[in-house]
Amino acid sequence: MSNTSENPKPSSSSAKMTLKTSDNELFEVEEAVAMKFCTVKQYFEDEKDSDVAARGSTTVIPLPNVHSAVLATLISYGKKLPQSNAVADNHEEEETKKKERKKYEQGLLKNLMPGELLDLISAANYLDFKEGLEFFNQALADHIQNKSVEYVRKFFGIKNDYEPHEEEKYREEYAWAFEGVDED
Amino acid sequence: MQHQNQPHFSADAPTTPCAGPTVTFSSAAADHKRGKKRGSYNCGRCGLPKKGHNCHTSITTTTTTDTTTATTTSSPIINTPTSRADSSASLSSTRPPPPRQPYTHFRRALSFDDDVRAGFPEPEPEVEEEEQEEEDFGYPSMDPEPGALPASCLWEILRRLPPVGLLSAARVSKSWRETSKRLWKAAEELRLRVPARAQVGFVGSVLQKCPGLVRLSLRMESDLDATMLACIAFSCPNLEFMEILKSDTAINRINGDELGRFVADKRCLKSLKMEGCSNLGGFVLCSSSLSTLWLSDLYSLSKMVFNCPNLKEISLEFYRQENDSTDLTTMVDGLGRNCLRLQNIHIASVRLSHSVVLALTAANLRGLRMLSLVLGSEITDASVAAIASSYPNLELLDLSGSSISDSGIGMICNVFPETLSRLLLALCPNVTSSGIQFATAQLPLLELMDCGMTICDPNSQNGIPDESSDWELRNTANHLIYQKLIIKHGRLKKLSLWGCSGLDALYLNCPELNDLNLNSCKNLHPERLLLQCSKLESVHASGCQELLIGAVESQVSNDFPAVENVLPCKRLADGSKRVRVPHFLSAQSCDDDKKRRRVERRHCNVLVS
Repeated sequence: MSNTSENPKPSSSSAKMTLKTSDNELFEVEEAVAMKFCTVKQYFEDEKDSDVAARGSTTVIPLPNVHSAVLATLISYGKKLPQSNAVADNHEEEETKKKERKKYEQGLLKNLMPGELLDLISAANYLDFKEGLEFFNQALADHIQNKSVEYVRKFFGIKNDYEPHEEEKYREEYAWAFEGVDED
Repeated sequence: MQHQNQPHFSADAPTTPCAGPTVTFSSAAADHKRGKKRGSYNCGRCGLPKKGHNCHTSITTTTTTDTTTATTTSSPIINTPTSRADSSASLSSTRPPPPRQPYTHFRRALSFDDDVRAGFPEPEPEVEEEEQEEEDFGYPSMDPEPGALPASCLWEILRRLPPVGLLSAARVSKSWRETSKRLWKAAEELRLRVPARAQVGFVGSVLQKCPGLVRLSLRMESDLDATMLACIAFSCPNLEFMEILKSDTAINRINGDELGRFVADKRCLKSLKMEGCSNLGGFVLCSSSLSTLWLSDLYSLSKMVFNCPNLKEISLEFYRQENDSTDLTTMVDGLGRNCLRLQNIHIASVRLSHSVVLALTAANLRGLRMLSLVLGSEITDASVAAIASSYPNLELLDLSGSSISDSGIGMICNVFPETLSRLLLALCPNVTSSGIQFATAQLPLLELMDCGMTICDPNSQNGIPDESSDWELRNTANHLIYQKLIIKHGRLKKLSLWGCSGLDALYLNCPELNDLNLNSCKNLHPERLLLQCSKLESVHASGCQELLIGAVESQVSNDFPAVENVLPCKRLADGSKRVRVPHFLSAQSCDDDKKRRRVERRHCNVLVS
């Protein structure tokens, strides 16, 4: 929680902030994007409350729970979202941006390793990045929704704490609803 | 084959039209038999052919036998959970009441959907959860295993799973079961597909997990009987909205007594929609809470009594058989006496007649705003006169399949110009293009106009039943063949001219027009088409000539400045204006284009099947 500078800077919409990850990497991020991480925003606002004006690229916000690779993905996702301080687009531009975003999202998911998804969600949760959480949670739900129970356990690293007879009971109870499960 | 007719109702403001009807006629010439040969109509929501299609904007059709939950949910369909999570216990407008019903046969590609609904696709099996109070809600507190997700994340993930996925998740571990149990308890809405081999007990066990259920939608692929109904009644004490959809192979065995008992017992039931009601036989429905009732595939009902004083919307679709012995007049009479709060009425039956209309107009339904009486070829201009005199404030009038003529339209335009925003006159063989033009000229609030199959070439097989190949008749009927339509309207948003094979020329100057349906306008001449509709988003043109499709495409891709066209026009004796369409009908590029404000054009899709 250290402020390295006490110079008040005039507010500007292209102000940048620096985020430091658990592996000591520094990321310079535009304020508009960084504000989507509510944890960062909260940190920022707390700083503003105090007398020290901590604006500008000289402040470094530590994120000890987030690894650089994960933060990189979250930042690039955040950039694609509609910016709250952007000039209101007219309808056409909005449409094109939406399409771009969809393409980006699909590309992102395709290249993602399933394990990385968990990390992304944890990080997004820590950062309180609502849109990211929404997106990645949905992606994860889509991914597991037709997988076998074993797969899900392995994926999340969960131990099966059922007795065999309990498990069998549950399996039979709803067998009627299942009509085919993805290959693991 | 059962055909589905979809009422027009929207719970929202009447200016937002909703699900379009499907109209099939056993009496109309060969149309419905050839339905499959026509261009398949596209669902307005997802753009896919409507045949055998379940509009959930997911890709599968329920008519295929190997529908698995895998395929239906493979396309990630998000039901904007954020908005739902933020709203309070009551479901927000993300769930507007009229759902899409499966279409199975010949149908019109008219969609009257709100934009709202289009933005909230309804995937097949999905549990939607509502958290009662977002802030106070405590996620199940349990120590997460090291490295596992925090409880709140698990909740968020599980809640996005379809019902089947959630059932499966319970088997992963005990803590997951805990979370999923809580999710079920919090569930207020459930849409479940019941596969063919499922038994009542199984569905019951699912329903018992969610006692807080307010909205239930079941897609039955197995038969529906009273046991299931009783199971629902027992498991869902707070049920307010119930919908039962039916696949083609499933049978709905519920009889009138059982239905009556269900409705009477469920004191909070507000909305009931059921398909496949051919075994009802007759019923007495008593409910003070019921405000919406949709029953389809009704057949030969001995009596229908509606003791529902708060009923606002009713849709009754009768099975298309000539020997249906239901006494519609008595039924409507009863409706008029008991359900004085009715606002929206939709009745589809080939037995509709003038006496039924008279029974309706004799009632004092002060709130009536939407009236749809379709398939009744015995409805005539006299019926229109009666309707117009008793209910002058209609916002939607649908007399598709009736025998009304241009003078009936004249009456409509006399009485309803200040309120009517939707007029549907599909398959009305006695209406001509002049009538349609008159309507569009005289009804300033019109937003939706459906003239499907109305301007037909009587000599082609797609025409009116009277298929005389008499030479003289063909000559005198020439005026029916080469009809032209000139429509200039400031508010019209949707226009359907599907199947208007008698249409030869079309000129549209409608700056608000979003959707134009020209499916099967076989004789529309590519050089006699002028579209000046800057907001046009989709044009349906399946079954049209290649050249026409090309003409449409070139017209919609040009930038049309808002042109105030000064066309030569001529006043006729009856006071109407005849506007002469200019000879060259091509995109007009004005020199002072640059001076005009650049009209923003959305990309317009030309949909060919």
